[in-house]
Formats: sequence, structure tokens, C-alpha cells
Amino acid sequence: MSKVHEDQRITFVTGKGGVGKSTLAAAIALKLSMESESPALLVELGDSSYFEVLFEAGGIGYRPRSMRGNLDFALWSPENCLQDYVLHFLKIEKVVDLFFKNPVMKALINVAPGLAEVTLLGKATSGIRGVGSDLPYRHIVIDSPSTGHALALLRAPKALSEVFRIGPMGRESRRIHEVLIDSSKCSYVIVALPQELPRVETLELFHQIREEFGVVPKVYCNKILSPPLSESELEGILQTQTKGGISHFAKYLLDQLKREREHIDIMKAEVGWVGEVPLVLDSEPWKLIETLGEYVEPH
Amino acid sequence: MSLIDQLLTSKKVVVCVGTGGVGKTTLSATLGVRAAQMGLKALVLTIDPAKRLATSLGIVGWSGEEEVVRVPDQEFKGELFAAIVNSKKVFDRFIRRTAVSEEMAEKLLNNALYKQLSTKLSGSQEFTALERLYTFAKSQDYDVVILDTPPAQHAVDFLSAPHKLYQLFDESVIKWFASSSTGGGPFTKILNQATQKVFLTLERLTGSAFVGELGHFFSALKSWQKILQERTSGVHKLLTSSECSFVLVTSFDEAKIREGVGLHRELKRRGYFLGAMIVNRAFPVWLPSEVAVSEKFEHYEALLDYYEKLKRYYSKREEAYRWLEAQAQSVKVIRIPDFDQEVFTLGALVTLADLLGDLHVSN
Repeated sequence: MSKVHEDQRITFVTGKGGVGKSTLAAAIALKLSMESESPALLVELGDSSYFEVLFEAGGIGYRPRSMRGNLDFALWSPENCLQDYVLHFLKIEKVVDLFFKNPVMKALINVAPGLAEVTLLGKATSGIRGVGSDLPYRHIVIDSPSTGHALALLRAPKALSEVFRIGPMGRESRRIHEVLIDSSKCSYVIVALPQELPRVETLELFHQIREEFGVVPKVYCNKILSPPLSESELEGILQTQTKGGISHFAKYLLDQLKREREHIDIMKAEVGWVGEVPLVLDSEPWKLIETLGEYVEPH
Repeated sequence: MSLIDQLLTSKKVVVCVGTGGVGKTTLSATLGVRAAQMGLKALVLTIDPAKRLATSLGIVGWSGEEEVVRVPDQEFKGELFAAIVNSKKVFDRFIRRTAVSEEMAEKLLNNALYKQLSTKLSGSQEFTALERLYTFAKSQDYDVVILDTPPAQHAVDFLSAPHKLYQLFDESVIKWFASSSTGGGPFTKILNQATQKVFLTLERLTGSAFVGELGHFFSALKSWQKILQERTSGVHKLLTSSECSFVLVTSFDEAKIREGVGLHRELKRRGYFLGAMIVNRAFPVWLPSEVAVSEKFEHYEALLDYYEKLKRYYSKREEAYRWLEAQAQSVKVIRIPDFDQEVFTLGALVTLADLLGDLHVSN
């Protein structure tokens, strides 16, 4: 058995495509890493890293890379995670090599239904369950895929455990699912935008996660237009300024503020608390993430 | 004639690719509207449209049986049709239609793994989308068929999906499992020692139930290998033919644009024709170019300051656009502005389609 990290917490960050999931996940991870004594790990899933592009930083891979203070980044692919697990299980590197160099095995990892999902979540929950290589973090933040793919990912352990009631596959899947439905260990964050499509998708996902995993997700509304003027101040301007670019601009801001407020209110009415995150106009990535960090309340 | 009009009139198949959240579904519908405006009989195949857009297209409340619907309230020179591709239904139907026997079909459809996970099977959504595209394109019922591709983390996933699915039917995998599931362990005879060891390791790791079920799954799939192979090569032929064009949709996020450029290379490498790149929400129509005033008023400074900030924010994107244009080489880049309203209604789609029809791209 590896070290069990009883107090480790996993945060899954998801939402509709294009809402700014990754940057908000980074903001949450950065904030957690500054709050806690021990480091936080921000994880991307798949074969290529968005953060490598965003931060123009190479070397984000399976082995955690220190990015800033207490914050490490990693990129997990199903193949890496499975390899890690198999090595831990078999202990003999030669056999593991044989296993993964086998062409049939390679194809199988790609196509066996549910295997990739369970492997990724197996890795994510390995610190809590005390299996695999040590994952010495207080917080693990997972930049998860968008809505439909995230649900497919999270549902896989339960589905597999129902197909295989006995044997190691069923047992591991069941244990992974038990972590996913434990609100003291897992949190879910849904990122939305103050627009119709993301709002509708967010609310659907909110209910699905709450019902299927018994954990109430946290909803953040991202990229809210935040001019330094209030609605009434804008209305005041529009009373004197009726022509030209500046009045068009003020009119647009006012209409947009009202529209966005409606979407936020609908979400609040349905889910209770909604974190409001402004549209940050900084383009320097760390500055952007620090600023976003001011608006997230991870716990 | 605008670039988009040229594409729509000269191609029978248009495939819209791009990452999630860039407005791919809306643009696919818009291309359909534009085609109908020009007098064509057009079909838009979409995967998971938002409810309001689906309502505008008349495909909401659709009971699950795939149906082509004539888009209601249209007044086009041509005609616009729309359909949603239901992945699970299409896959099940494909299995039934192509099965050598009823019994084989039932065996697979009742396999526990298939039942639990057929909709999530790697590449199955992509496969079914292409399967429908192929069927409609071959039917010759439409002048042009426009496919909105499934949402994906990375746009390139769509291109690698057929290969992934094909791997599923890779003979070695099937042989391996088909022989292992016949019971009594005869697989030990045909497998070499190394593979045997790997197999036993997998069994130790996952349990005999898992390996057994996988075996049933793959052996049940075995009889579809040939038909799937044929269909895969048929689709490939269609996609690489002169009748087909890809359109890449991207948004004005630097990372998305970079990804778009990567996809462009990938399309080229695979022999696909990329007819246009569309940058959605490229610049805000609502941001005035001129805000000079004759007389200052209360809060003027704050308002002007915010205006300048937004302007800088968008001009940064302009730089990314120029970079994209330089990378795109021979492919034309079309920019669509960020409107101050979301596009849901047929009327809004028509406005957008008019715009696409007006965009003459200088060479």
C-alpha cells in the first residue's frame, strides 16, 4: 500500500466548451496552493497541454512540474496512468514494459469501453485510496472535459462496477465511485457564462451531478462584463448623451448588464449560490489567473 | 460570388470542425440557410443542438427516431432540412442492418459492456455522424449536406476517431479475445509466450470476469469487421473527394487559434480539403470606433477608460488574427463579428447567412 492521504481533496472543474474552464481551474488551484501548507496539483487530462500554450512553458507531462510556489502542474493520459498502476501492482518493470509494448494491449487501452475513464479517475483518487505511486498533495484540481464528456468520465466507474460485480475491476471501480460521491473528498465546479446556452447547459449539469453523485456542485458565472459604472450611472449618462459613439457604448453596456443580470438571477434562483467572476481584460496569463483567484472561494 | 457561396454551390458535402464552444452548430445551421437562400436543397446534420436553436430548426421534441425535418417558416429560394444524429440509435441500427443473422445482432446488443457503454465507445459518436453523412450524401436527395461534428475537447479528435474505431476491429485484438473467450483456454495454443504473459497479467489486474466479458464483446463484434472496413474506406473516399470541403470554425482565443492552425496541418496531411476558416465572434460590432465628445460629462473619464481597455483587449485579438492569416497560407479566413444578441431564431440565422453571402474575400 502507498501512503493514504486522508485529507486530500479533489476538485473537478467542468462546464460548456469555451467558458474558460481551464483558466478558472488554474485560478482555483493557485488560490488553494496559497492557502494550504502543502502543495496543490493542477491536472489536465489527455495527450496535449493547454497550459503549455497559455504560459508558453514546456515540460508539462505526467511527472508534476513546479510552476509557482506550492503549485504543480501535470498532464495525465490514460496510458500513463495505467502504466503507473500496473507498475505499482506488478512491481517488476520488465513485465510492465512487456505489457505496454504489446500491440494488442496498446490498441485495447484505446478501445476497451470505459477503461480510459476508470484509469484516469483511478489515478485521481489514488492518493485518497492509497494505491499507486504517491500523490503527496493536499489539493488536486482537475481541469475536466466539457459537460457531456465530463459526465461520461464520472459515470464510468459506476457503470463498470455494475457490469463486473466481482473481481478486481469491479472492486476498484466501486471504490473510485465511493470517493466520487463523498462530499468530504470531492468537489465539483461548473463554470458558466451569463448567456443562454451556457446557462441552460450549466443548470442541467448541476442537477445531474447532484442527483447522480449526491454532491452539490459550485457554480461560477465567468466573464461578466464589469464596467466601473453602475446601471443607474449609465442611465444618467444616457439622459444627457443621446448621440455619437459614446452614447452607443453606454447603451450597449447598460443593455448587456441587464441581460447578464437576468441570466445570473435565473441561475441563482435555481442553484442558490453562484460565484460571480468578471471579464478580466488582462492578457498576461499569470496576472489573469491571479485576478480570477480573487473571485473564487474554493471552500 | 462570396467564398462561402462558392463552397456551397460546388460541394456536395461540407464538414464543420472545431473545438467546443466556438459556435460550430450555429454556423453549420447558418451555412444551411445560406445554401437554401441560393436555391439549393440543403440538409444540416447536427449532433446536440441547443434547445432554442433546435426549436427554430423544427427538430425539437423529436422522439428519438431519426427524422429529417423540413425547417418550418422558411421562405427561401431553395429548401432547408435538418436532422439530429442520435448516436446510440444509429449504432444499434447499423448493427441490426448489417448483422449476418438476427442472433448475432442480439448477442452484441445484449452484451453487458455494449449496453453500458456503446454510446461512449471511443469514436462511436464520430462514426455514427459519418455514417449518416455518408448515407445522405450517397442518396443524392440533397444538393448539399452540412455536417456539424460532435463536441470534442480537441478538434483533431474527430479526425482520429475513425481510426480509433477501426482499431477496435483490428484483427489482432479480436483474434486475441475471440480465442480466449471460447473457454477451456485454447488461446494458449495460438498465442506466443509474451502475449500469453500479458494476457494473464491483464486477467490478474482486472479479474477474469472483465477479461471474459471483453472477450464476448470482441467476438460478437467480429462479424462486423468487414462491413465496417468497407464503410470506413467509403467514408474516407467521400471525405477526400473533390465533392467535400471542410470548414474550420474557431473563436478568438489565442490557444483556440493555435489549435486551429494545428488542425489545418492535420487536415492537409490526411488529404482533406479545407475550404475556409471561420473566426467566430472576432470583433464586437457593439464597440464604436469613435467616442469623441464635445463636452465632458459626469463619469466621462471612467466610461472612456473602460472603453479604452476593451478596445485594447480586442486589438490584442487582432494580432492573433493576423498571425492566423499568415499561418493559413492559401486558406481564406473569414471573420464573423460578435453580435450583441445570441443567435437562436431563424431570422437571426438569416442575418448571419446574409453576412456570409456578402463577405467577398480578397485574394
